[in-house]
Amino acid sequence: MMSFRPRLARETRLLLVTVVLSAGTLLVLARFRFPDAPPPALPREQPLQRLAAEALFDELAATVALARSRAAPFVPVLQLDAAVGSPSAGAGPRRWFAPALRFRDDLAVAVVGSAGQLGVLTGEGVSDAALVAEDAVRGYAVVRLRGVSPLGGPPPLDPEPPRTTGYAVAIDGAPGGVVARPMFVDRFDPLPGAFWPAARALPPALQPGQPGTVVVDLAGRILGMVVGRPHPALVPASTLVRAAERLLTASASPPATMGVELQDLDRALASATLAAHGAVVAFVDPTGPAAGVLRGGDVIEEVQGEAVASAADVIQRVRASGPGSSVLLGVRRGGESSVLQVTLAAPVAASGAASGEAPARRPPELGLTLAAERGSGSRVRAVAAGTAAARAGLEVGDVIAWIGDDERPAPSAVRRAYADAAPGTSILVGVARAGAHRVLVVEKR
Amino acid sequence: MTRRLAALGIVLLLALALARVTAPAAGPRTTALALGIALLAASLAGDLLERARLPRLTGYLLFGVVCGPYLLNIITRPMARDLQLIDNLAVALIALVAGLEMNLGRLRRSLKAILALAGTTIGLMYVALLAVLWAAWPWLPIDPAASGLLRFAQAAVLTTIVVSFSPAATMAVIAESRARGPLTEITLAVVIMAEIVLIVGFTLVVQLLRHAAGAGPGADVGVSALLAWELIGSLALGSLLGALFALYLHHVGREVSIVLLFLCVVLTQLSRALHTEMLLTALAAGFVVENLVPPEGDALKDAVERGSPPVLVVFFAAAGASLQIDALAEVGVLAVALAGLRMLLLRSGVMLGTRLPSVPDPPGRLVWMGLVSQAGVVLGLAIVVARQFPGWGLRLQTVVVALVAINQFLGPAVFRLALARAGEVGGADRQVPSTSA
Amino acid sequence: MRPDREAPSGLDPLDIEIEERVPPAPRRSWLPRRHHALGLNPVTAPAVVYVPLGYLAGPAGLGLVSAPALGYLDPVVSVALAALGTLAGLAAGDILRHPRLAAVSAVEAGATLLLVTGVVASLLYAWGVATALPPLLLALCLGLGASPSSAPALVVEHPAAKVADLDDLVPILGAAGLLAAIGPGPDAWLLLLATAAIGVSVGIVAALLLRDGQPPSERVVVVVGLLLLLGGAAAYAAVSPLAAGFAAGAWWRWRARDAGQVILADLRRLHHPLVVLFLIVAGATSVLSTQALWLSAALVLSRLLGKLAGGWLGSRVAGGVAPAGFGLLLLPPGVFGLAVVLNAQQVLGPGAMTAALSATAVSTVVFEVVGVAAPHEGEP
Repeated sequence: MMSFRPRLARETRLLLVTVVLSAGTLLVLARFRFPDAPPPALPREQPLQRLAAEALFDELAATVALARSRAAPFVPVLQLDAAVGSPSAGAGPRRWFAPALRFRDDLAVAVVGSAGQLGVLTGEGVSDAALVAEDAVRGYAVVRLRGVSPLGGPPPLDPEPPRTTGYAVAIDGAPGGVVARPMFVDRFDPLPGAFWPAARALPPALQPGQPGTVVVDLAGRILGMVVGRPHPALVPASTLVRAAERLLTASASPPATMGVELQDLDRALASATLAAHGAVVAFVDPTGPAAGVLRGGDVIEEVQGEAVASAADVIQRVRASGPGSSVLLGVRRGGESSVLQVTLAAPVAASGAASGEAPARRPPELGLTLAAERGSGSRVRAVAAGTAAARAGLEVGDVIAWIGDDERPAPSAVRRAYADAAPGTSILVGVARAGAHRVLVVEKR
Repeated sequence: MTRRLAALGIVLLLALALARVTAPAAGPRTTALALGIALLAASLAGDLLERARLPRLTGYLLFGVVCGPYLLNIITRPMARDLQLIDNLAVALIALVAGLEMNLGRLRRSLKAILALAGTTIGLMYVALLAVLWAAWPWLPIDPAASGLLRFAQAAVLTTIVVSFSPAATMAVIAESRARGPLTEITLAVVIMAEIVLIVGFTLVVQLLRHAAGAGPGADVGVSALLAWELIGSLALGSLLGALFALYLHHVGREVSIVLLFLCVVLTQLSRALHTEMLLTALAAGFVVENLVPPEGDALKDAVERGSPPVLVVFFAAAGASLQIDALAEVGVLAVALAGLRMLLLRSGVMLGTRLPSVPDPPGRLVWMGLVSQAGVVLGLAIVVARQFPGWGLRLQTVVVALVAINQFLGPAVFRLALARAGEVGGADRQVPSTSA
Repeated sequence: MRPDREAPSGLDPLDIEIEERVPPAPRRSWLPRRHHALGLNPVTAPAVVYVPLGYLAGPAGLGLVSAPALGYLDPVVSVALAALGTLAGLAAGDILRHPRLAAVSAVEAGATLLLVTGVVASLLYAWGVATALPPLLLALCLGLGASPSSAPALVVEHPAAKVADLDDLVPILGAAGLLAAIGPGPDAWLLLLATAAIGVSVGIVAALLLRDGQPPSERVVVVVGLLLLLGGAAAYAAVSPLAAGFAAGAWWRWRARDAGQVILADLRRLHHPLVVLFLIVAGATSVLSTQALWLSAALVLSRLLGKLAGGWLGSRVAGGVAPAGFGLLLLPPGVFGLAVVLNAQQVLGPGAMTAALSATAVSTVVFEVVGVAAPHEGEP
C-alpha cells in the first residue's frame, strides 16, 4: 500500500544529500578557481569529438617544439647586413636573419645572398662570422663562426634522402633565435638539370624567395636546406655538407686552369650540339693545358664524373682540383660522348682571354662607350654587361654631367678619372636621365 | 599452442587478403579491425608469456611495444592515437572499479597503517633522491649550468616526478589478476594517498621553480585555489556524478551497461573541461556508489570486473605502443640508473615503514613492488614542466619519458609477481571474505 | 519476458544481475510502473525508446552528439550488426527442422518485399527526385528493410514467433547481395566471396582458440576480439557485417557446435548494449525532412498491406500451421530491417540515404507501437 507521496528511502535521502553537497562544493570552489569566468556550464556539444581534437593539437605543438630543440644546436642564426654601397642596397632589406647548418664546430652552410657583413647569434649577443667560400653557381656559402660553443657530436643528418610524405618542421631565423613551424611535405621530385644530383624539388607549401630555410623531420633530424639557385629546392643535408666540404678544399688550394674560354648553352647551341647540359668551349689557348685535347665546339658535360650545369660550374670544379692534377672531362663532340683527360696548370697572371676566365668574372673595366655632348658632358652610347658601369646602374642615353671633381667631362676625362682611381675605391658620377639628375656610384674593384 | 598460432595465421592472412582485394579504407573504418586483431594477437602474446611463467600482462605490454610505432609499426602512430581515446575511457572505468572496491569500514580500520606506510616511504624516497639529484646535477644532461635556488628547484621538480606513482597501472594489475586480500588493499590505498600528496607537492614545487626562474606565477589564481580545486573539486565532482548514478541504479536500474559507458564518457569529458583530476573523480564516483548503495555497488563491481578483461588488454597494449623507445636510446643509461635508484629507495622506505607498529608485516614488505609502475600521468607532469620551461624542460622530459618507459614495462610484472607471492591472485573468483587489514 | 530468446531484445544482462543481487520490493519505485502503464516497456520494444532518444541527441535534435562523433561510433555499429548476424546464423538451423514454416516465412517476407518495393519505386519515379542509388535499388533496399519482423511478446513455440525468426534471413541474404552490388571496389561476386570468407575464417579461428576450461577472462577477450574482427573486417571490405556474421554463425552451427555454444553464451550478454547503441545511432543519423516523411508514410502503408497479404498467402500455403490472421502478429519489425538500411548507408557514405534511413526508423517506431497495442495471441 503506497501512500500518496512515495516515502523516500534512507538510501535515497543519503544520495540526494550527497548530490546537493557536492554540487555546492563545486560551485564554491569554482568561484575561486575560475574567478573571472561564469560558473562552468556543462559542455553540451560534441563530447566524443573533443576527445580527439585536443590530443592532436597538443601533440603537434609538443612535437614541433621537441624537434626544434633537438635541431637548435646545429642551426645557428646568422645576422646578415646588406653590403654597403652595393647597387641592390636600396632594393632589399638592410638586415635580415637566416639559419645556417653547422657541420663542424666552427663552419656552417648558409644562404647569404648579397650580404656584406655577417654575424652569428649566440647566447650572449652577436658574435663575428666570416665568409670562407662561396658557391655562386648553386647559391650557398660556407661561413666560419666565432664564439659559438662546440658541438657535442656530429649533426644528426638524415642519412638517406627522404622518400615518404608527411609533416616536417621548417626552421627560419629571427632576431631572437630560430623560429619553427610545421609544414607538410607532399611530394619529392628529382630536380631536373645537373646542379644537385640527388636533390628533391620544393613542395608547393614553401614560398620561393625563402632560400636558407632549414627543414628537419619530427624527430629532430636535419633533412636539408632550401638553396635558391636556379630553382629553390630542398637539398638533402648530407649532399649539401659534402658539397660544402668540397668547396672548402677547393678554396684552400691555389686555383688551376685549363686554358679554355667557355660559354653557357643556350637553346640554339643545345640543339646544335645535341647536349642537354654543360658548357661549350669557345676558344682553346694553343699554349694551354687543353691544347690538342679540346676543340672549339666541344661541350663539356661532366667534370670528374659529375654533371655540370654551366660554364661557371666548370670553372669552379676545375679550380677545385689544383694545378698539376688531371681532370677527367665528359665531352660531347659531334654528337658523340667521350672522356678526355686534361692536366691542369696554374693560371697565367694577366687580365685577358688566355687565362680561361669565364665571362662571369668581371675585368676591371669601365665598360662605357661615350660620345661627347658639348655643353653637357658625355652621353652614354653603350654599356658593356657585367662591367663597373653596368653595376653602377648607368644606362644608354644617360648624360654624365660630372664625375669626381670634373664637371661636364669629355669622354677621355671620364676614362682618366676611372683609370686614376685606386682599386677598391668608389667614384661618384652625376648623370642626367629623362630630364632629372641622379648620382651613381661606380665601384672599381 | 599450434592451434593458437594457426588461428593467428588465419587472422593475418585474412587481413592481408582484404587489403589486396578491396579498396583501401582509412579512418574509423579500420578501427574495429585493428582492435580485433590487436585483442587476439595480444591475447596470444599473453598466452606465450604465461607458458614462460611470466605475467600475462607483460605479454600485452610486449605486444604493444613490438607492434608499436617504433618497432614493427603495425600499430601506426594514428592508430596509437586512436587507442589513446579508448585508453582514457579505460582509465576511467578502472578507477571507477577501484573506487567500488574501497569499503569505508575496512578502510577506517587500516587508516593508521596506510598513513604510516605512505608517509615513511614517500618521505624517505623524497629526501634521499633530492639529495642525490642535487649533488649530481652538474653531471646530468638537463641543465648543468644552473646554480643556487634554480638548481634546487629543478632537482626538486625532477624528484617529485620520479617519486610519482601510477594508480591507474596499479589498479589495472589488480583488476587483471582479479586479486583480493590485504596486500591489494594496502597497496591500493597507499598509491592513492601518494597520488594526492604528490599532486600537492608538484603544484608547490612548480610554483617554487617559477619563482626561482624569475617567471611570473603562471596561473592567475592563487596556489591554494588551484590545489583546492584539483583535490577537493575532483572529489566533489566524482561524488556528484557517483550519487546521480547511484540514484539511477537504485530507482530505475535499466540499461545499466549503456548508462555506465555514458558515465565514463561524461567523467572524462567533464574532467578535461573543468581541469580536475580524472582519476580522483572516477575513484570518488565509485566510492560513493559502493558505500551509499552497497548491494547495487557490489553487484555492479562483480559484473563490470567480469566484462573488463578486453578493456584491460587494450589499456596495456596501448601503454606498450605509446612507450617512446627512442628516448630510451638517447638517455638510456641515466634512466636505468634512476629507475634502479628509485626501486632501491622504494624498498628501503617500505622496509622502514614496516618497522612501525601499526603496519602489518607479511603483506607490508611486498608493498614496494606495487609502487614501481609509472604511467601516463607522470608524463603529463613532465609535459607541464616542458611547456613552461622550453629549454631544459624538454631535456628533463626526455629523461622522464625514458624512465617512465622502463617503469611502465617493469612495474606491472613486478607487482603481479608480488601478488602471486602473497597468494592473492584470483582472490575475487574464490570469493575470499575480506579480513581486516 | 523471455530473456533467453535468441532475439535482439530482452533485458540488459547487467540489469538482471543487479536485480538478482538486490533485495526486492520497496526499492522498485514509480518510474518503471509508469512505463508498464503506457504499454511501452522498453524491454519488448527497444526501438520505441532508443530511436527517438537517438534522434533527440543527434545533430538534427539537441546536438549533443555531433556528426564527427557519430563517425567514431561507426565501428560500434559494424560490431552490433555482426553480432545480430551471428545470432541469426546460429539460429539458422531451424530452417531444416521446420520446412513448412520456412516456406510460410519465405512467402510472407517475399510478399512484403515485392509490395513495398513496388510502391516505393513508383513513388520515387513519380517524384523524380535525385537519389544516390538508382530508384529501383533504393526501393529494393527499403523493401528488404521492411520485410523482417519479430514477435517479441509471443512464446517461443508459437508458429508466428518461428516465422518471425525465419524471415530475418531474407533481408540478411538480400542485403549481402545488394551491398555487394552497390559497394565500391571490385566485382559483386568477389565481394560476396569475401563476405563468406570473412565469416568462415572467423568461424575457424573461434574453433581453434576457444576450448573448454578456459578462464573466463581469457574467453571474454577472445570473444570480443572475434566480434571486433568480424565487424571490422566486414567494414574494411565494405561488405555487410550482417551477412558476414550470419556466415560465421551458420558455420558454428554446422561445423563447430562447441565453439558456437560458448560464443552464444557470451553473445547473449553483449548483444543488448550493442543493439541499444545501434538504435541510438540510427536515430541520431535520421533527419525528418519532408521527403523522409512522405517516404515513411508510403513505407508504413505498404508494409502494413504487405504483412497482411503475406500472412493471408502464407496461411494458404500451410494452413494448418499458420492461422489466418497471423499477419497481424508479424507487424512488429524488430531491428533487422533498420540494420540493413543503416548498413547500406554506411557503405555508401554519410548523407547518401538519409531520407530512406529516416523513413525506416519512423516506420520501425510506428510498427513497434502498433505491435504493442495490437491484439496478441498466446501471450504468457
